[in-house]
Amino acid sequence: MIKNPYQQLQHEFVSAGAKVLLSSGQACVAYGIAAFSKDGDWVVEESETSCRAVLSVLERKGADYRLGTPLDIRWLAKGWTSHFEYIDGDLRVRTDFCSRPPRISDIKRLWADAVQKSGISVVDAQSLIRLKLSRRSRDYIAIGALAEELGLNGNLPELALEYLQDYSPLAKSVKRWPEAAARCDREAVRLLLQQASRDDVVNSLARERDRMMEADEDRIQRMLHASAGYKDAFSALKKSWNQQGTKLSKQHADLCVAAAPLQEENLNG
Amino acid sequence: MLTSVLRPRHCRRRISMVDSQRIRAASVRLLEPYTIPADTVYLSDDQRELSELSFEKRAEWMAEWLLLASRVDDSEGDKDDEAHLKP
Repeated sequence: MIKNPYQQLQHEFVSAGAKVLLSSGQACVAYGIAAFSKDGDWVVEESETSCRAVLSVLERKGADYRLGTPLDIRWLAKGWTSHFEYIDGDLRVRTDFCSRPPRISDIKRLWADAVQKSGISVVDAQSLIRLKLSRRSRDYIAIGALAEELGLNGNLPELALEYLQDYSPLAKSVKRWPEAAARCDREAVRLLLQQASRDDVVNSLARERDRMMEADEDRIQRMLHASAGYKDAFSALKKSWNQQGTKLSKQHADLCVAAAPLQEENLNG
Repeated sequence: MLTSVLRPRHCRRRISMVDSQRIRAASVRLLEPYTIPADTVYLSDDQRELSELSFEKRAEWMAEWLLLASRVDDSEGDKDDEAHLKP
């Protein structure tokens, strides 16, 4: 049996005392709707205990920081993220952490709705859909697939009507659930109820997707603008860490100093 | 119960949210083997095969893919670092 390094890692985080939720691509694989994801993404509880536990596990693995902010509640609470990598045998393991995932307004509910299987806590599928409303086109395949399986096939009309990405399954949903469709505020659903042309519905879906992608792009540009000078400071630190073989705990301390100005920037909302 | 939230500036409309109990039950169902209908517009044969596996087998599948990918992707390094500095 080949062990999944990301799930193994999650078990180690939990054993060390961290609260984490498997998220993004690995969660899509866990839910059976994505065949592959290269990185491991987690939502980490916004607490010193959880951050310290994750860092201790990663230090044991010989991990290094990648470009990002320190894994520390001072940055996580402002919407910044932390990134690491290490080599495990033949594998380059890349790990990403956040505590305030984009497009999730209710963090308490995110934790309350998480589900568990074989000791692995995973973000719920509805939150996963919202996390995936990103600037990347390929994420909308995952959104459509989740909406189809949970909504159309799982009998959750709200999800089908809100998140199906293509004409045929959405038209099927509107036909199946006319009352729920009448309550839905989505333009494409309203157009289907009004028996608008297929072109109009398809155009509406495309515009909606583009607006979501644009909003995510704006968010990332805002972050890049806020961290314009930081990238060079990080590169200099990374070079020095590589030369000196600096351990993760020292990298973390260095990064807390370098990233201090970014604490002023709140990326949430 | 139907609840809703107000989306931020990019999409100013109310969206329907499935209540916690139902979304948790639906999420748990997807962690078990299930069959994707043949007429899906979203998923490939690979994904159909994956969905029919247990949670543990899906994890193994992923591990095999990672090993295969590592053999062709050993030197990407930090070229996508900017994409990782994201909120």
